[in-house]
Amino acid sequence: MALHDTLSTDLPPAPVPGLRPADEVMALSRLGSLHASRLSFSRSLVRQMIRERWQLECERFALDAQGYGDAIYRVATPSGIFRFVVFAHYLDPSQRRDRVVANDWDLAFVLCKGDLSSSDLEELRANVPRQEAGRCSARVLTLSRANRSQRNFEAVVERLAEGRQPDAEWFENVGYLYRTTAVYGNGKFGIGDYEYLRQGKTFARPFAAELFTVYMVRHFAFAQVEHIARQRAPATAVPLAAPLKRYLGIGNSTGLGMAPFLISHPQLIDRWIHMRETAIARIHALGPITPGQHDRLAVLVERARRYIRQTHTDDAAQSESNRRIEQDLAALQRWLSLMARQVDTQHGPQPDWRQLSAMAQRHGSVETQELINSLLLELHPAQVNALEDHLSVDSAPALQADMTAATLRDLIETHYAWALAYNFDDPAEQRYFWYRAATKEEPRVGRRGQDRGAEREMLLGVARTIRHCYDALSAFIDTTPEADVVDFLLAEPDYRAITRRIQTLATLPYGEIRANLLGPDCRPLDLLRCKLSFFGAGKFDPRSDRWVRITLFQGAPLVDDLSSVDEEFDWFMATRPDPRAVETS
Amino acid sequence: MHVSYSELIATSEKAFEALGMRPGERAEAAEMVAWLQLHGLSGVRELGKALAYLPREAGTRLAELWRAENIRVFSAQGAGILCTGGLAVDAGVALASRQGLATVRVEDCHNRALIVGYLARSARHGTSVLAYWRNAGRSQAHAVSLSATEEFPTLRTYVTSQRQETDQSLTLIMSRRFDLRPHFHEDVADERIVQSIAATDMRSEREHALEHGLNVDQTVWNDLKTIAAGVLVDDGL
Repeated sequence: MALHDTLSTDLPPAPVPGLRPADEVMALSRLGSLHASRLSFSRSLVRQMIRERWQLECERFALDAQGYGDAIYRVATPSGIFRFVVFAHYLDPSQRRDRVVANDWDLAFVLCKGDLSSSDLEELRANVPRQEAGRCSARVLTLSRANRSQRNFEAVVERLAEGRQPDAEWFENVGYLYRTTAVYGNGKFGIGDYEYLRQGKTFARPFAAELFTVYMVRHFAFAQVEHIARQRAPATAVPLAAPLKRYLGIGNSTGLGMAPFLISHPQLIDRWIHMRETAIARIHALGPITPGQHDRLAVLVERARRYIRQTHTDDAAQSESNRRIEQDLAALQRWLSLMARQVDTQHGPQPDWRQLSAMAQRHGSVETQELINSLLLELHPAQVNALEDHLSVDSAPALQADMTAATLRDLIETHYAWALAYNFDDPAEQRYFWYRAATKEEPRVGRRGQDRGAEREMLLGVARTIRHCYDALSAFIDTTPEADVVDFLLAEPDYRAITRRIQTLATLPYGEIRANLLGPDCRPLDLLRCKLSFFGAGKFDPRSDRWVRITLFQGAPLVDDLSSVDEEFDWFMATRPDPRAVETS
Repeated sequence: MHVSYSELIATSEKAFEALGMRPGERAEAAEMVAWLQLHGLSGVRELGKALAYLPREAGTRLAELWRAENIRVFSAQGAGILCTGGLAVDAGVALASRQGLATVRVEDCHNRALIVGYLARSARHGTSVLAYWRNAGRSQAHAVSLSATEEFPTLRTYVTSQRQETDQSLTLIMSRRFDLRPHFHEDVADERIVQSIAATDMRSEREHALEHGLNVDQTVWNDLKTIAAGVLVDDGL
């Protein structure tokens, strides 16, 4: 079997007209306004689990009365058998920290392939709770940890032990029982490589194994709180109501560690954005909005308004943005009401999706525009779902050494005008630098001239490197106008990496984030949000401009639902369940 | 020591960065070492031989000694392939693209076995390649060939009767027009071939390594990790 022949992932679908220009799409502020959509990886994963009827079974549940111990779940998919193994132990509340630099957690867990012997389990027990300090074998596919929500966990246990359900309102603010701080995959600390995962079909899509691990810890969390409640009050304890379980996701705290990925994987970023833009362009090319679509859109807009109202954050900018979205959605509802008669009667000018987007562009905030794009995707599974098979990229950046140096300069002028527009003679444009901290190699941002580490700067300043390369190339061409790229690189070997990047991305318009990551206007949070939106994250709650809390899988079907619902199970922008639904469940 | 493929790439790249290698070179060099290890060609062992010399080699440029229509001769100026091999291969690919057939010779060059990892790139560009080098004083020669249509090269090591004390060169022959294969002339008897590695060997090595991980020399790995820590900043936070 060839390395990557299991999914037709490397070739994008046929190009469609009407894609938005990269200058618009790849602006950092817009990328930092993206919302989850049906193309997000967690959505795609859940559809796959339902479609393939994955079987999840608890093989071992060895928890004491306080919920400490270990558990093993067997996961059967059409392509293989996997195990989710979780270790729970007491954590002093003072040690419960969100940052990646923590050394102890309430839960530590792994997703493994195949069967587990008792010695395998002991090896996991010895290493998994140590996380970065341990070593795992290649049979381990992901490695992660999570901390309890101090607010929710004990309160939920207490209510269940009393025989009552928790208030759904609790979960508006904090929509989870556990919060992960890192989910490691792709070979970290000795675990299996993504190259291997891609050979199988189960977790071949981007971050599928990592997200399934998050889904499984959500499942374990429900079992654990119910177990503790039962142990505490066997006579009165009740299980957590299914609507509340569905409304609970898993929290995540994400810092700068995620940011360099977006710069170091430009072909992958191009593909993700390209597929999202392809979906939007396909929808724009459709005819007028039908009455059925109009009604469904009205339902989704109302739900989106409710979702935004139920999103709480202390961050002033995000709060303001949320308020603006709600206003914009209210305006959209008024427009939909006006259009309702025309759509129903088929008389007069018929609105279409392109018109809707144009209106959002004229009157809505950037975040509203992108939310409406997510709504459009939600309404069109036939135009969107198949694109999930094209979200991986196999090819590596390639140098074209026989290109003329003059052509390379043309490429820079054509595709990197945005980078050349920065003036790097102005010290402000290099105010910040990115570095790897000695503590767990976590990426951080320092202020040049003030903080230590500028001499070990990570090369994330693409715009600055482009400028330097362009200047050196222009000087080289002045003396040797007929030379090839290889001659330029023999003379200026420092520009080998950026030359390869320029040549590779010349045909990939969405590969480059069009911002100077060293300058005063860079908000690292925007990088995080872009990637998290593709994961399917919601409830963005910035804690500073460098880290954010989010929720994954809020609204997702439960393990028990998987065999009874279809792929189009609706969990888009899940809102607080109706108390009557909780009572009757 | 068990490590993953991507872990080997990441750690090697950081180590090369800490040693002062240029951005383009260090990423490629890390991938080449890992590629060799993944395919059972002892990339980490070869890296171990080079590691002590890299601090002074990093930053060395390929110096052009001579060029003609389809020939380029460079000096690596005593540096190893990790610092110079990528550009040498690129020069050959560019020349073959223009001329159909190209010869690149790199003199005063070390750790030449590591060139194998770079050759797959020429195949991706539709160029067939034959690499040849001899070990000084050991009467051994190495030929590696890769067709433009193939994923894996064929490696042959054989004993040669021609002793040459100071041959530190590497020759690359590249063609856009025909395949280059290490089929020996009839006066090179089969029994003199001391090692032959074919595509099937490499494919099975890779499948096993991806499923079970890579086994690497613990000392070299520890050295790599120690060097790689040189890119980290102790910011006191």
